[in-house]
Amino acid sequence: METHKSLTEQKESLNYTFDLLIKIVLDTIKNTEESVLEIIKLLNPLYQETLEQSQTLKSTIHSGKELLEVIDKQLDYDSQMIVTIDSIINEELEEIKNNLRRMSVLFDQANEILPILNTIKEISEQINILAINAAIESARVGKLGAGFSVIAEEIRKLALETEGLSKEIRDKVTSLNETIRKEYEYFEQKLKGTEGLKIAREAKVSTEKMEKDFQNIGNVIHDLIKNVNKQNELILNIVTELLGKVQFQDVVRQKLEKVCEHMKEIFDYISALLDWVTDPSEETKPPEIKVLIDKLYKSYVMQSQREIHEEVFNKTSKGKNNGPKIELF
Amino acid sequence: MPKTVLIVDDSTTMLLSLKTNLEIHGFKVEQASNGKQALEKVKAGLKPDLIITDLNMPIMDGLEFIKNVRQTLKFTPILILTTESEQSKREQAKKLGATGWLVKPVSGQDLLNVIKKVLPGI
Repeated sequence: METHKSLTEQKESLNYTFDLLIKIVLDTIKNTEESVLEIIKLLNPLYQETLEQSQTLKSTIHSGKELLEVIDKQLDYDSQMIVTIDSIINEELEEIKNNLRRMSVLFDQANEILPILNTIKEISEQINILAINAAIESARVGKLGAGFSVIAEEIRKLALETEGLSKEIRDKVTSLNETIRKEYEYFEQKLKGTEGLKIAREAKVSTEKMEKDFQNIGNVIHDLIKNVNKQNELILNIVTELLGKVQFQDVVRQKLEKVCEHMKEIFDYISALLDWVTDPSEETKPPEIKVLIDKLYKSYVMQSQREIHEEVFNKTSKGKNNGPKIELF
Repeated sequence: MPKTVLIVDDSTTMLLSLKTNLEIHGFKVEQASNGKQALEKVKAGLKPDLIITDLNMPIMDGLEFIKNVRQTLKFTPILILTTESEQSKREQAKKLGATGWLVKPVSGQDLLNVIKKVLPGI
């Protein structure tokens, strides 16, 4: 009787112990599940952040490309404009130079007239003197020289008139020379004043430099975007892989749940065994433990469970073909 | 228009990890925690482009679900994602009209590669 009581107590204690172990295992499953869910929830914002960054970058790329296109067009236009200005200024410069050459020739030609006028003046003066002398001589011969005296007077008048005209031409030539000189100085000054051309050329160099700088900035932006995109892609790949890895929790859960299920079966078997030992005449003898072990083996769903079982019980694998890990039918 | 994937699994972690992974890659996700719940969604009018289902689930398991859902969705690809490695069940799933079989755990990228094969044009 005492033995019976003791065995019943032992069975109850064993029951509590099994329950305890099962609770611990189930609690562990719950803990892993909670932790994995936390991990997934943390991965999501990491991805969202990456996604937002990618979208911002895409927008930046778009705006950057548009900006660079506008800058390119403007730089192209500026370059063309500078070439045109350069060409216009060069043409004008050549025109000024030609004008100056022509004016110089004209000035020289006008100046060549002045000595001729001097000669004409001298000749006129001499003719005048000759005419006066002729008039004196004709007066001296009296009536015979009267006709000659008229001619001498006419010659003298012509000489004076020639001298007058000569003076008038000289004045006009002098005035013309003055005008040419002023024009010459004006164009010469204009020729010196090619500051506009210099500025245009400097602007061209500056524009070309600016173009290169913008191209460099564009390249830097492009490289930066490329690198950030690469990093984002890497993060996305890591997140994707981690989301696959967390499936281990489901595998572990199923394995531990199977352990709990088996512990319950083992307890039931031990319990039946104890009942039979306590009262063999009343209780049914439980089947051989091998029956239970085979039952447990058949209940496995994972190949790794079967492999561990075979290893522990030195069981030879039936060589089942479990098929590939991934198979499309 | 994003493709819709119906995921069926009794594991909370599986549902959330699959949902997150698929949404990250541009899919719209519907979920159910067993075959019966998934079947009700289909009967209510859900027409997913792809179904990913577990096999061992309470209330209605994966094989039973495939058998039933095939009456409505005859051509929708169905992938089984399970810890089950029993060849006989694999054969059974094939006969019932499953498209593919994947043993857990499957890497996120491997899963996406399989999805690309069964959903051309994504």
